[in-house]
Amino acid sequence: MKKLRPAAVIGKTGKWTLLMLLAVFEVFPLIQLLFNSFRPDSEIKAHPLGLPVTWTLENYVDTWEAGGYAQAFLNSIWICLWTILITIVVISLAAYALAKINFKGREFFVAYFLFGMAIPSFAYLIPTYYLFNQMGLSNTHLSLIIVYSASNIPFKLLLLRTFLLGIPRELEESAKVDGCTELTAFLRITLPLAKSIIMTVMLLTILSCWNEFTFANTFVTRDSLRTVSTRFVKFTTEYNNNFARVFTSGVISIAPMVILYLLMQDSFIEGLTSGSVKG
Amino acid sequence: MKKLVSLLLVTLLLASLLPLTVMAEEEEVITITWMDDRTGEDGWYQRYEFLIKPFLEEHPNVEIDWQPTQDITKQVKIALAAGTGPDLMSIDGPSDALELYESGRTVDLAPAVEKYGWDKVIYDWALDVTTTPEGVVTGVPAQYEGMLFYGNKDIMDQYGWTMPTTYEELKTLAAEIREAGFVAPMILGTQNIPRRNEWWYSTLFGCYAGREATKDLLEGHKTFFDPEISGVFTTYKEMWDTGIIGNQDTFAVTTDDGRAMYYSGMTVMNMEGDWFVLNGIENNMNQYITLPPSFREGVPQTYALSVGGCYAVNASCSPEKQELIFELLDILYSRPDLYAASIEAGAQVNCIPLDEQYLTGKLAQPVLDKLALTEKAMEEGNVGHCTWTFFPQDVRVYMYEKADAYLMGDLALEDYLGEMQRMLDVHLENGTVPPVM
Amino acid sequence: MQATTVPRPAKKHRKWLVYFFVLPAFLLHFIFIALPSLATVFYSFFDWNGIGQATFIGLQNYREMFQDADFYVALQNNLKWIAIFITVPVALGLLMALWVSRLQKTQMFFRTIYFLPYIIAAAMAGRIWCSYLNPYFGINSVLKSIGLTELGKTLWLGDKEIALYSVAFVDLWHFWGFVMVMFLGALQQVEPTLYESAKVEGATKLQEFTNITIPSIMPTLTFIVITIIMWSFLTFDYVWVMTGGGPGNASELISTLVYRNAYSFYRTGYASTICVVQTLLSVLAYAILQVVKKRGWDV
Repeated sequence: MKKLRPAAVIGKTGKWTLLMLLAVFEVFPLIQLLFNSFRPDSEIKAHPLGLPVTWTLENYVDTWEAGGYAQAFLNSIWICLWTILITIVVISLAAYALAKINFKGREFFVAYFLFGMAIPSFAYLIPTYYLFNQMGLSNTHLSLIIVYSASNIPFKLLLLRTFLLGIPRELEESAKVDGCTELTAFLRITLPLAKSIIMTVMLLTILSCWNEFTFANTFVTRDSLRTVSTRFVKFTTEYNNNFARVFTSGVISIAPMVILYLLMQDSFIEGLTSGSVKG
Repeated sequence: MKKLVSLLLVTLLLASLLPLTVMAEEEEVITITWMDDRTGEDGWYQRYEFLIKPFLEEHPNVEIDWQPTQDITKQVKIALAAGTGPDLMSIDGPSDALELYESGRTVDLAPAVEKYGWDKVIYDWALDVTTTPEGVVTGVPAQYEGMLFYGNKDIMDQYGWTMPTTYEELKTLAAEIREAGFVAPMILGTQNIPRRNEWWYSTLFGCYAGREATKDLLEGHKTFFDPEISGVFTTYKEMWDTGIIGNQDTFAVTTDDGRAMYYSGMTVMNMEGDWFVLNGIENNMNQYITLPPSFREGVPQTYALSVGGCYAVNASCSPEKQELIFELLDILYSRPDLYAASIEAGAQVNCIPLDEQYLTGKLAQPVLDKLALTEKAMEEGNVGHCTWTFFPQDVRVYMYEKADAYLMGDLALEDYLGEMQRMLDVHLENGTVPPVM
Repeated sequence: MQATTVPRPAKKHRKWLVYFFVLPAFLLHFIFIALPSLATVFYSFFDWNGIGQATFIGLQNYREMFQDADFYVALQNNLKWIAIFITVPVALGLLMALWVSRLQKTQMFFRTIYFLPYIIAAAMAGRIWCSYLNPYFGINSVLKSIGLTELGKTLWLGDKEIALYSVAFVDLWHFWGFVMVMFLGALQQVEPTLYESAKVEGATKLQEFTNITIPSIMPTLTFIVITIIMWSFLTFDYVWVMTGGGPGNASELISTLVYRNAYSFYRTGYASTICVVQTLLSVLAYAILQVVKKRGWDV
């Protein structure tokens, strides 16, 4: 066993203390949120922060029934799936080209997407809505899928590109020598190596779709087509008098994201360890 | 060539998604879209049971696409600006109705009012504020709202306190409440929602300035600098400074948290609109419900009223569709039995008298008390003006948006009043001040 | 950007095929985001309430904006916001990424926990935090109970001197884990052989960090800094949920000012003007970064 110097011991203890403290700090409000969904409304009103004295599951029953979440979940999942599909396909192709291939206009495209990141959603909310109405797409999920895919492009594309820059070009070049085209080199060599970052991009895309409110609330007004985020905000205004239900609906709306994130953790780690850049 | 190919690609991509779009409705069925500010299951029940269902029974070929919408004014405006929008819309109040009509997006409802005789049931003051000087009805008044004082009965009885009827009594009571160790006499949290300030301003326009002075202001006979009017603002600041309404911390408390403090007995009183009667019932509160105290000698306790919403009809509707919408709305005004039943189911009180013979006794006592208060105030003429119904839009928005700055002392009273007067003068000159009751 | 040197593709005549890679993303964004956004530039020259008749007023909105005290307050707050966000989360994220990346069994635990707040919508997290910062039942009651009575009287969201920083604190709580995960990803790409040879040469930890780690993650670091600067000009959610820009306009940001003008004052034309300037500001920030980089100062 290696003998540690006292300074190193203190350093190590300090490091672990900080790690744990930060973990507590990060997770504390979320645990409060979860607890509040198990507390009766009157208790929350008396002490908004605190442990449940009486545990109850009633909030969940009430909220699920009153909130109409079942349909909203299906809608959101549907929109998320298509958005991820489109986003991942278009950005991974573009990111690959912008990271790996030297072509005329490359600088322009990089600059364009950087500029794209600077456009506030306020700037295109109403004009895009108008455009969709002209296209006969008002009150459709397609309108949301398009606008989510499009607005997700700049940041996620550049993020992916940054990481692809870190993968040596020689790998693809040698694949091309072996008879691969640019596309097959990308699919067979680069994509598997970039698995973990692509998972991250997917997760970020899902998050932004799932939590997005402004466009969801504007483009889709028909009740049966609403998404979880609009349901949640609508529900919390309608039942703003019942704090327990508000917290419960919060938990219900984010639970799928948390579960998905926890499930995806496995593949993150897997992707990171197996995706060694050495190939 | 490149562009062509790429365009083709995008088109293909989009085309592959087409099955996702919702296909057009079957033929022969007329769909009326209704964007409504009632949301949630309760809202649907009240709308469906007492309005939509009876309508559909008579019109089997019509379908109603009810779109409960949060933040309705903003959503309606965005939808209309984008060239779409619902056929029928419940909007926040007369000023919005006027704005939509002036922009050519909604129809004049005067012919419908006359044809169906709604003017005979709807309160005159309410219909007046949605009628322009030229006689155009921009919206049919829906519910009305007014500002009230609430007291936690259990606590007040325990300490032998009574609801204040004058500002002096309120001050004394506030001191006693503080001495008894409560956090504050009352807190209206305005954190993140400056609009809440106008609840207090409306109360004070009623109970400090008084009905006549407010009327004079809006008709141009008085200015914001007249003591009856400027006192509204100085009194508000005085209450804030002296801790009658919190401890100069109203910006640090959300409205919800402020309410929670009242429910849980940290504070003793509350000032809110009459909608809060239902909140009290839901939270099993034992409440005193009274008119706000008189804040100035000679001004009675006044019930500041507002039209809390109205119905407008999209100008793009065909005349046939408009007629159907009118028939739908007519149920609200021509069926006192259904109206009474909807009130008992928790719907909001419309700007029409409630015929007590149809009540089945299901109404909770606090609601009956509130109705009695309203009736009495109306009979005695002690009704005031809520800013969001009777003040020009920009004046009231400026009033509440800048309230924080004024209370904190960042905005001088003269500048505050001066800017509001400047805005009001423009409206007086153009004749765009809403009709005063 | 740190472009890798790229050898020319072997088959020259099929070079145009590369546009198939880029154009779908470009066109999708251009048609549905960039083109419609031009409408906002157009509106910025009009006096328009968002729905009625619009009157062309030329540059008047711009002139008004440059005289609008609220705009300068928002701009100043935005700059403060940037200063906070390009330092704290980057430093904290990098440090924690370095630590967490060396953990074996517990790595997954920490990266999960630290990233978790990023998942939660601001509407929900903001609400919980408002309760924590409430003067009567949040951390203040804890502070008072441990004897810090004066500190316990702080109005975290109600004091005009503090409100902005309180919101920034909560946004940091939500945001830094994201930065850490980005760095973790970048650290995974660093060649382990580099560290090994450094060890052989007897480099200290600090030398290892400055000579190997930093250069290796430079593209990510640069990208994150640029992203944070651009996002800071757009940041909206937490401020809107927690203070709405208040009290007064103490925590006003450009985005809340746009929203307030568009949907409280119903001055869509003027809001569009501020929105255009907001976009230009973040483009300008990026341009300055580029110039600084070309001058040889590594960002």
